[in-house]
Amino acid sequence: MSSVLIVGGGVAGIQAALDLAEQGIDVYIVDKAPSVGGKMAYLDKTFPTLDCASCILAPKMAALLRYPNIKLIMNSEVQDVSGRAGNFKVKILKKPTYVDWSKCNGCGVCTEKCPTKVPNEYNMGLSQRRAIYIMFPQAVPKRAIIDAEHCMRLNPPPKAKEKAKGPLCGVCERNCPTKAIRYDQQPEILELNVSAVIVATGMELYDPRNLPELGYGKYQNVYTNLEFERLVSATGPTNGEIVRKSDGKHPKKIAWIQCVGSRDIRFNHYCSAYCCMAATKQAILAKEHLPEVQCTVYYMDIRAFGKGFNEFLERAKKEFGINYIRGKVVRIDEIPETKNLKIVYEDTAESYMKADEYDMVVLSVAITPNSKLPLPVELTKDGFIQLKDPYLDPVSTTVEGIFVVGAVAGAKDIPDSVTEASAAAARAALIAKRFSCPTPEVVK
Amino acid sequence: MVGGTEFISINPNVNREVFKLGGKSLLECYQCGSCTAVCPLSEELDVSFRRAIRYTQLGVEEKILGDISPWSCNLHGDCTDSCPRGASPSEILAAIRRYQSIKYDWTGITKWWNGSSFASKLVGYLVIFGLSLLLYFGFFWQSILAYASTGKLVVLSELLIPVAVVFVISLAILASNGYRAYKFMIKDKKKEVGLVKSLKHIASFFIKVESDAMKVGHKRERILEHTLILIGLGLFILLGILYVLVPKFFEFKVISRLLIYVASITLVIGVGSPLMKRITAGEKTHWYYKKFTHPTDWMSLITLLPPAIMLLLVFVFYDLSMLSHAYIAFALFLSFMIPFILLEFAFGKHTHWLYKVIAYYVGARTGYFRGD
Ligand SMILES: Cc1cc2nc3c(=O)[nH]c(=O)nc-3n(C[C@H](O)[C@H](O)[C@H](O)COP(=O)(O)OP(=O)(O)OC[C@H]3O[C@@H](n4cnc5c(N)ncnc54)[C@H](O)[C@@H]3O)c2cc1C
Repeated sequence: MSSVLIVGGGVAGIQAALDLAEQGIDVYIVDKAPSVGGKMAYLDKTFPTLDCASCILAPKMAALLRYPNIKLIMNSEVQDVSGRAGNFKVKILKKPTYVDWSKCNGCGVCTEKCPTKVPNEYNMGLSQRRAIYIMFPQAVPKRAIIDAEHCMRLNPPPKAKEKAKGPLCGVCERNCPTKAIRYDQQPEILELNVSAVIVATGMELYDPRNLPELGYGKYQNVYTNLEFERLVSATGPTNGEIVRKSDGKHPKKIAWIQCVGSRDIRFNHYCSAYCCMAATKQAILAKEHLPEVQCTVYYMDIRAFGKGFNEFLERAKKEFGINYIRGKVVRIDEIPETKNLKIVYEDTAESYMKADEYDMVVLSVAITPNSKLPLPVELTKDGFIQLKDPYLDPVSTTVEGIFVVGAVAGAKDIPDSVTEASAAAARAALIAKRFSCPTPEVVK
Repeated sequence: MVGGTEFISINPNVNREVFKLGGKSLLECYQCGSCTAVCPLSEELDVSFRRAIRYTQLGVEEKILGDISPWSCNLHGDCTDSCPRGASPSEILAAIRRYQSIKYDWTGITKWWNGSSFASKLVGYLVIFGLSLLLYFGFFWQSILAYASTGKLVVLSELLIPVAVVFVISLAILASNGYRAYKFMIKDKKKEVGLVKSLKHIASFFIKVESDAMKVGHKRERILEHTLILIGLGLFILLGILYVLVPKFFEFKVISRLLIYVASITLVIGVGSPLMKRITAGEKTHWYYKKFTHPTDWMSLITLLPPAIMLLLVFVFYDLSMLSHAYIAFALFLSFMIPFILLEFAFGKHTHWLYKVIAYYVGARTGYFRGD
C-alpha cells in the first residue's frame, strides 16, 4: 500500500491523517513542533458553541496513536520534495530532541528537576517552563524534548564552561527513570516515498509590533488574542484567572481591537476570518470568569458569516451585554500611573473622535500563512498557497498530488479547516490507491 | 428620526465629480474612521472627516455643501499616512472643497476653473492676460510714455482703473459667494455660542494646532511656505492701500523699498519653493508635493509668481533710474494682476481663505469646537 505525507499536524492535518488511516493508507505526519495540535491546542473554548477546545481536540490527537499506520515525525521539517503524483520522494530533516523517544514515557520527572527556567512558548511567555520540557500536558506524542539553546549541558554559559572541569549539569540524565536522555543525538535525514502530499502547516499570528502605535510589547496590559486565550484557559499561566500583567489585579474594563494587521494594505489586505468570532467568544469567556467586567469590541465590520455565528453574536450582545462600537482604533496611550490604556478612535455612529479608558486591551491579530516551504507549489500574492481552482477543486494546489488544507490555504476557522481536511484526504486516497502496488508485506 | 421621516435627496453624480476634481481614492474608503481619529484637529473639534467622505460617496449633496469639516482640514496628511485602504483622505477633502466652491459660486466660473484641464485653464489665463497686455501696451501706451517722461513713478492714474474695476467686481462676487456658503453651512445648525467666546475658541485653536504642527518637519516646511505667501500677500495689499491713499509714502525710500522687497521676495520664495518641489519631485520629496498636483494647485502658484517678480522689478528699475523700464514692468505687473484677480483670487484656490473664515465662524458659533 502506498502512503501519504501530511505536513503540519494541526487540527486539519490530524483530521486528514485519521481519514486516510481509517482507509488503511499509511500516513506520515511531519510537524516542526514537538506535539501535534497546532493552534487549536492553545485555545480554551471554541466559537460558536463554546465547547471546550481540548475536549474536542484531545480525543482526535489521542486517536492518532491508535493507528499503527500513522507515523508521527515530530520536531522535523520537510527539506525537499521531488517526483510527481504517485511517487514523490521526500527528504525530512529530523532535528534532535536529545531524548530517545522510544524510551521516554512522558513521566515528566526531568521537567521538574531541570534547574533552568525559560519563558513557556505554549503560554505565550506568560509562564515558565524548564529547558527540558513537554510541550503541554495533553501533548501527542507526550515526550520530553531539550531546548538546546537554553540547556546548561548543551549550551553552557561561557564563564561556567571555563570553570567546570567536566560536562555541566546532567540533572535530567541522572533523574530519568528510563535512561532516555541522549545529549549526543544528531540531526537525521529521513527519506520517504509517498503517493501524495497534504500541506496543513496552518498559520502564525502577525507581529503586532509592526503597528507601534498600539503599543504591544511596550504597554504591559496590551495582549494578543492568543495570549488572552491562554490567560482564560484553565491550563494557562494563571489557571484561568484573568489578571493584569502590571499589577495582578482583575480588569474591570476590557477592550478588543479588531483588524490589527488585517484588511489594511500597509500590512495584510485580507480579512483574517476568525477574529470577529474569536473576540466575541473571548468577551463572553471574560464575562463568565468575571461577571462584573465590561467588555467592548471595537470593529470595522462584524463578519458573522458562518453557521450559528450571527446567533452567537446576538447572544453576546443580549445575554452577556457585550458592547460593540464601530470604529478603527488608531492609537493606544498608556496612562503611566495606573498602566491603564486610552484607546483613540472615531465613533462612527456619533461621528467624532473619542478616547476611552480600559485596564486591559486585547488585540485581534491578523494571521499569516506558514507557507515558506520547500515544495513546488505556487503562492498567492498574500503568501497563501495557490489553489488550483477555488470553486471546483478547492483543496488542490497547482501541482498534481499535492493538496492543501486549513489556514495555510486561506484564513479560516476550525470547522472549515476540518472540512477541507476530509476532502483532501479523499482526494489523496484516490491517488494512493491508484498507485498502490502490493508490497511483499501485504502479500504475506 | 424617531417617529418621523427625514427625506434626503441623493445626487448620484457627486462622487464622479469629486473623483474628477482630484478625489481619486474616494471610492476606496470603507469608513473605518482612522482619518478622523489620527487627525490632530479632532482633539479640538467635533469633526468627522470620514462622514464628509461618506456623504460624498453617497451623494448627499445638501449635507456635503453644509459640511464645514473640509474647510478645517490643513492638508497635513496624517490621515493619508495611516489610511488602511491606501486612500488619501486629505486629497479627497481637497477635492470636496473644490466641489463645494463650485456650488457656492453662482457665476459658474469656478466650475470651469476647478473642473477644466490644465491646458484649458492656461488658455483662459493667457486670453485674459493677452487682453490686459493689449490694454496696457495699446490703449494706455501713450499715457504710459507720458508718465515715464515725467521722471516720477508715484501717480494715481487711470492705469489703475482696470485693475480696480476687476478687483471690485471680484470682491462683490466673493461676497455673494461667501454669503451663499454661509447659508449652506449654517443650515440646520443652531447658534449656541456667544461671539466673544467663539473668537476665543478660534484663537486658542489656531495657536494650539499650528504650534503642534510646527514640531513636525514636513508640516513645518509647508506652514513656513504658506506663511511666506500670507506675509507677501498681506504686504501687497498694504502697499496697494498705501499707494492709493498715501502715495507720498513711496518717497520714504528706505522704508517703502524695504516693504516692497520683503513683499516680493517672500512671495517669490513662498510660491517658488512649493512650485520647485512639485516640478523636481523625486524619491525623497514628501508625498504632499506629488499627490496634490491638481491643476488648480499649480495655477494658484503659477498665477501669483509673475506679478510678484514684476513688482520687484518696477522698483529695482526705478531705483536704478531706468524709468522707462520701470514703467514697462509696471504695465506688465498690472497686466498680470488682472487675470490673477479675475481668475485665481475670485474663483480659484485662493478663495479658501474666505470659506475657511466662514466655516470657522459658523463652527465656532454652533458648538463645533470642543472648548475648554
Ligand atoms: C486566538 C485564536 C482563537 C481562535 N478561536 C477559534 C475558535 O474559537 N473556533 C474556531 O473554529 N477557530 C478558532 N481559531 C482559528 C483556528 O485556530 C484555526 O482555524 C485552526 O487552528 C487552523 O488549523 P490548521 O490545522 O490549518 O493550522 P494550525 O492550527 O496552525 O496548525 C499548523 C500545524 O503545522 C505545523 N507547522 C507549521 N509550519 C510547519 C512546517 N514548516 N513544517 C512542519 N510543520 C509545520 C505547526 O506546528 C502546527 O502544528 C482561533 C485562532 C486564534 C489565533
